[in-house]
Amino acid sequence: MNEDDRRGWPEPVPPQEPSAPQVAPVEADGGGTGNSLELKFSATRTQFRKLVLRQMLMMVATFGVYWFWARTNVRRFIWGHLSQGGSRLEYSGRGMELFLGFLIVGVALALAFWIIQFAILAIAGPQFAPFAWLLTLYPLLGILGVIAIYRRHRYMIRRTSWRGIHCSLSGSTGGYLGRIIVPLLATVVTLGLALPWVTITIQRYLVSNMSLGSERFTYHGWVGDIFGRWVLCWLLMPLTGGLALAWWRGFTTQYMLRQTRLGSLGFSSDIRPIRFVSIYFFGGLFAGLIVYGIFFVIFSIMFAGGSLPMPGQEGAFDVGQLVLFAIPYMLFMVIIGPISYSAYLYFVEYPTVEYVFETTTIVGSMDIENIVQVADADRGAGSGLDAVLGMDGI
Amino acid sequence: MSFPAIYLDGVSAREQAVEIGISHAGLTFQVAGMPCFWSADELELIDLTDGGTRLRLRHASMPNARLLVTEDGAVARLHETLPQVFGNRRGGIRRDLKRLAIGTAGVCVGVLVILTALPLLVGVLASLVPVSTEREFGREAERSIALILPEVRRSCVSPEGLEVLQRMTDDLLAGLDLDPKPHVRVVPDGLVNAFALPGGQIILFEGLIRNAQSPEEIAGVLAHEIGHVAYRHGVEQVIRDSALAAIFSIIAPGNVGGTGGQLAEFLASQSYGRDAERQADRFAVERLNALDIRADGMIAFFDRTAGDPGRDGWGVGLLSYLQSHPGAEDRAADIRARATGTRPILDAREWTALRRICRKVEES
Repeated sequence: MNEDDRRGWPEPVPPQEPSAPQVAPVEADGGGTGNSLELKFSATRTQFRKLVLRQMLMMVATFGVYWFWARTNVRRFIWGHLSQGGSRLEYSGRGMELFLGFLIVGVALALAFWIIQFAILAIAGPQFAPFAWLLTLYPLLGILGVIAIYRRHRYMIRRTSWRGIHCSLSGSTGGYLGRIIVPLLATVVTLGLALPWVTITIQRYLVSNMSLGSERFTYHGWVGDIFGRWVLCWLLMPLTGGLALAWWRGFTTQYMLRQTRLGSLGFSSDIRPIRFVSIYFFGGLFAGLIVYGIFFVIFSIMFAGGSLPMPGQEGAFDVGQLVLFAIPYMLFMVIIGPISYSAYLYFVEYPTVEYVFETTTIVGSMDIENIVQVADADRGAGSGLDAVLGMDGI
Repeated sequence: MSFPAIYLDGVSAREQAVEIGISHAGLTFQVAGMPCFWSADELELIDLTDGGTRLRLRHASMPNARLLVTEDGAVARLHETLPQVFGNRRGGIRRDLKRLAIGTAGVCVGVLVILTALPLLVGVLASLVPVSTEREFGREAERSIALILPEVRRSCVSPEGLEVLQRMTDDLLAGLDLDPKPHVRVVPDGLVNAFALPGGQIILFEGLIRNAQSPEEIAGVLAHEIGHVAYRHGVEQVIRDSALAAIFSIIAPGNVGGTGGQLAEFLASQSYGRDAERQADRFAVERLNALDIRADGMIAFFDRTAGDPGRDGWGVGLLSYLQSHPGAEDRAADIRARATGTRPILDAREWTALRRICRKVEES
């Protein structure tokens, strides 16, 4: 954000944390005749646990096909328990839409990847093709990944409504790509140092193109506010690994909320990024213990049953042994995906979302009854790309 | 009897308190003095939260309007009077199962169509690959094999043995105009195996020749490998495996289906592999028949490698899906049913010379 964008705002509200960057100002009691809105998340862990367990069993029973419906039900659960001013959000997405989107994008990408492989083979020859393929694949996946982020958000936003008023997201994938490509290249060239530029570009494009009925959201973030924190994170990453990124996610979520406004309403966030670190660390630990625990149990049974020779044990497999090995192994392959997805959802993603809602308040007030419907609910195939690229989570 | 509810008209964000009447026909209420009726057959339950005490309804005729019911008595009355609404709610198990069945059937049909069309597509693409490129594939494959099995870099070159091998190869190729032309060599290693590389190179291992009980066994194996070259199975495999990798890495949603996708890719690849082996077997028998050469050596080879009695049963049936080659018993039976040849391929002197081909070895 440049200085021009900041002109005309009243006095800034002091930051929640002494070290937090300056936030976009919000009038404490704007709107005069309006209503204040309380943000409340009313779901319990028990309710969510029941949902996750049911989804997990369905995914196992269907070799993962149920994933699309599971993701939809999780979103519907979260939206349905989040209320603003006593009115809950509504998610109208459907599993079938996600499934169709996935099929369309999947077929197109499989074909494209296959053709690219042959083009590379023809140009580089068999000896250099693997190297040339990697050089092509990773940049391609990077670009597809940021497009997937946009299209996933677009799908979710366009299927969100509040009090019967639909949210919308203008803009296009092309427009988004045009804005993100330079920051993305800069991030690659600087070995990740320019990531805040990507973060702010994505946040700005998503938030400033978003509307609730006739009311448009605005975004006031600026790269300079978060760059220093990222440099620290970037330097600490070799020592802290993914935990520095968890801290960064907490920090940027807090920042985005504080820089977002809807008319005369703003969002105040008390997120402590260190809490993200503890959620990711302990949640990841629990999820990992469950997944590796199951791995350990199945393979212990296979060893104990003699279906898998112990290291150093003499003798080759006979057919019976091989079958006894193959069945538990296939069972493991089928159940491990749904279990790890569900464990990560329950121990990491859900607590993160819950914490964000608990620490966010809506400040200011406006006459919300003036918000009117401007578009019908969006329908049609889902984004698909995120599913194809294996982007789990909510 | 009426119950309090909140009505949202879908035009503005204004909430309006209404009193709803619940009957088997549907819901009645008044908005700003105007009577409204939402018929039961087009009523949809959007969600049911807070342990089933709070629900949100919509009607097909007004897709943006909502009725929010939070009164315990009203929810109980709805359950009692309009139970069908709860059975067909979004995210409900019955609706889930129905959608899921459609989705699963869709995936199965899609995958079946792709896997059925794949051999045809692969065949067309393989025919477009120039032989020079195929030879490059072969050289690359040989370099990779040499990393694990350095002996592949060496060849058996005893002059008498080479002469016999060349005559056997020429006999088997008589009347065929193959491009790439097969080039056969023997590698001095104890493995009982043989394979054809893309580009026409066929490698027989010394172990195969030493273990063979007749020259017809070697002729059968050689004809089988020539079949792989003739059908260009090597280059087809390169194309097909890359397609399967692309398909199965893509059709696994999120990370949930990743391992299942790998398993499916492996099984599909093995299945196509078995088809190629059967095709090469039939080519071999046809060649031997055309030259009136006995196939009993080939049959004896598969009979010998077929399972012992303990390997029969359900385990073998399951295992057959995991193998890249068809079962040896099936192959032997198939060859036995087709073979018509009557004469041997080599005399005793030639057979001895072939068995001694590795008395002289050089780097190839």
